[in-house]
Amino acid sequence: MTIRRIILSGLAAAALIFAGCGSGGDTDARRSVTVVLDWTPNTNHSGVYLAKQMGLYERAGLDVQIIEPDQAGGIAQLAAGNATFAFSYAEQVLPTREQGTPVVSIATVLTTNTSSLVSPADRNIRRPRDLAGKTYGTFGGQIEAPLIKELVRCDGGDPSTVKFVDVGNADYNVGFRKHAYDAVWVFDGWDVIRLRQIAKAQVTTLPFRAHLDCIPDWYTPVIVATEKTLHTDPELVRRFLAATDAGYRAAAANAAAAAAALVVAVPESDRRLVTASAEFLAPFYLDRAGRWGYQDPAVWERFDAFLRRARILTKPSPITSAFTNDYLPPLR
Amino acid sequence: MMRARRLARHVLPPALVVAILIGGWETWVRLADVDPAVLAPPSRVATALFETRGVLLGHTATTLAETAIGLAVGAAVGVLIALLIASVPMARRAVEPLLVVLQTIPPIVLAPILVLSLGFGWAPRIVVVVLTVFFPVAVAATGALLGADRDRIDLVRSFGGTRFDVLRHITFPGALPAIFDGLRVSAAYAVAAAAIAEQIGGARSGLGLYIARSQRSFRADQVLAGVVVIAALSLLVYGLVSVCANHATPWHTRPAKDIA
Repeated sequence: MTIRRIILSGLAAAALIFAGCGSGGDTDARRSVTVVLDWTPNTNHSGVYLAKQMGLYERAGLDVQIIEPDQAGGIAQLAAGNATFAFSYAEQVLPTREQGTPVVSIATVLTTNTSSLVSPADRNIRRPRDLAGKTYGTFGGQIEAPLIKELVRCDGGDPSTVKFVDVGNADYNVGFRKHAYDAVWVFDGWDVIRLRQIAKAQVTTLPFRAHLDCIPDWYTPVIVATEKTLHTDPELVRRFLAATDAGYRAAAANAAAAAAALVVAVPESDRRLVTASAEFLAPFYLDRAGRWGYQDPAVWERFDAFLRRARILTKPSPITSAFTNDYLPPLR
Repeated sequence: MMRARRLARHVLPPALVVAILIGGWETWVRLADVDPAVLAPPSRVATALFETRGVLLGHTATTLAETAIGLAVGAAVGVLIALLIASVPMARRAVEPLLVVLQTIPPIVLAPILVLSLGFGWAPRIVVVVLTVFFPVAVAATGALLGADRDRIDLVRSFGGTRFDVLRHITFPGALPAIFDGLRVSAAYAVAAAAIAEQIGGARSGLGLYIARSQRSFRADQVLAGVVVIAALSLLVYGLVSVCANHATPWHTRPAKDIA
C-alpha cells in the first residue's frame, strides 16, 4: 500500500514536470547562432532584437538565440564554446586577449563611448577638477581609477584627493542620497535618462565624449567572436553582421520601433525608460559616413596606449589583431 | 460548525499577521514618504503583479518546473547517499566530510562554473536546486536509517530475512517520516534556489530573470512582485510535499489535537 502511494506521488510529480517543460523542438536547415548579451537586455541591443523580430536573421538562414549573461560573462561562454557571438566592451576585450583568450571585436554598436560620470546637482561637480576632494563610487573596474585621475589631472585638479568607495549591488541613486559617494560611472542612454526623466533627480554629468582632449574614446559595447570562428566560419559571421547591421539601421531610423521591439522581447523593462533611451541612442548607431559597426583604428590605438600607460596591459601585442572591420557588410 | 471554527482557528491568525504587516508597510511607506525606488508600497506591488501577470505566469511555470525536477532528483540523491552511508560504514567516513564541505560552497560561486560547463540549457539551474535540496534529505534519512529499532531488525533476521528484507520492511519505512521532514526543509528552500540560479545567468525564463530585468529597469515594485510569487510558490511546494508525506506515511500521524 505505502509503496504504491509513493509511486503514485512520484508519478504525479513526474506529470507535473513534463507538463512544465514540454516545448516544441522543430528543427530545420537554419544555422543555430547564440548571442550572449553584456547585461540585461537594453537599448544597446536594439538592433539585434529588431533584426530578430523583423525576420532578418531568419532570411539570412540564421536561428538566433539571445542569452543574458552569467557572471562569468559572454567572452567566457565564447571560450567555452557555448556561444557564437557576445556583447563586450573594449576595456574587457583587450585584457581578456592578454590573458590568452583570443576574441576579436567585429563591430562597435555605438560610434562613441556614451558613458558619463553622474552626480547629484548639489555636489557642484560641473567639470572634472571639481571631483578633487569628492568620493567616487566604483564598480570595481580596473580602468576606473586611472581614468578618473586622468580626467581630474588634465583639468588642473589634484587626482590624489579623489576618494574611492565600492558601490556594490546597491542602487547608486540611494547611495547619492545617503552621501556614500558623489559620482558614479553610468551610461547616458540608460541611467542618466532614468535619473533625469523617470526619477526626476537633479543631476549633473561629465560625459566622457566631451573630454576627449584628456582621455581616449573607446568602443562600448562591441560585438565579439573568437578568432577560431572568424577563421573557420567567416560566411556565418558575415551573414550575422549583415542582418545585425540592417537591424541597427532600422533602430537608427525608427526609435519607436526599436523601443517596441525591446519591450515585446523583454516586457519586464520600463516602457518610458526604453522609449526615451531608444530616442537618445538613435543618432549614435551610424557614423558620419553612414556606416554601422565601423571601428576606427586610431580609436583602438589611443585606447590601447592609455591602458598600457595605466599598466592594465603589460604584454606586447599588436592592437590591429584585436578588432576587424572585415566582416561588416559593404556600404550600400 | 466545528469545521468552520477549526478553519477559522487555522487561517485567521496568519491572515491577521499578514494583514497587519502589509498595512503597516503601506502606512509607513506613505507617511515616511519613502522613495518607491527603495521600497515600493504593497499597493504598487499588487498593481505590478496584476499588470505583468501574463509575463509572470510564463516565468512562474519555468521556475516551478526547475523546482519540481530539482526537488525530485535532489530527494532521490539524498536518499541514495543516506542508504550508502547507513549500510557501508566506510562510506560514511569517506563521504560525510565531503558532503559538509559541499554545503559550505555557495551556489553563487558554483553556478558560473556550472553554466560554463553545462551550457545554457536547464541543467545548471537544476543542479543548483539539487545541490540545495539533497543535503537536508541526506542528513535526515541517514539519522533515521541508522537509528532503526534493533529489536525489530533482529526479529526479521531471526526469521531468516536478508539485509534487503530488513531495509524493505523495517529501516526504510521507518525512515520515511524523517525523509519527508528533510524534504519539507528542502522544499522551503527549493524555489528560492531555482530563482537565484536563474539570476546567475544563462536563463531565458524564470522568476529570477524577471527580478533581474526589473532591477535593471529600476522597477522596485516588480522586484517585490517577483519576491511575492517566489514566496507563494515556496508555500505551495512546501504544502504539496506535506500532502505527499501524509499520504505516503499515513501511520505517522500528527499529534492528536490536530485531528478532527
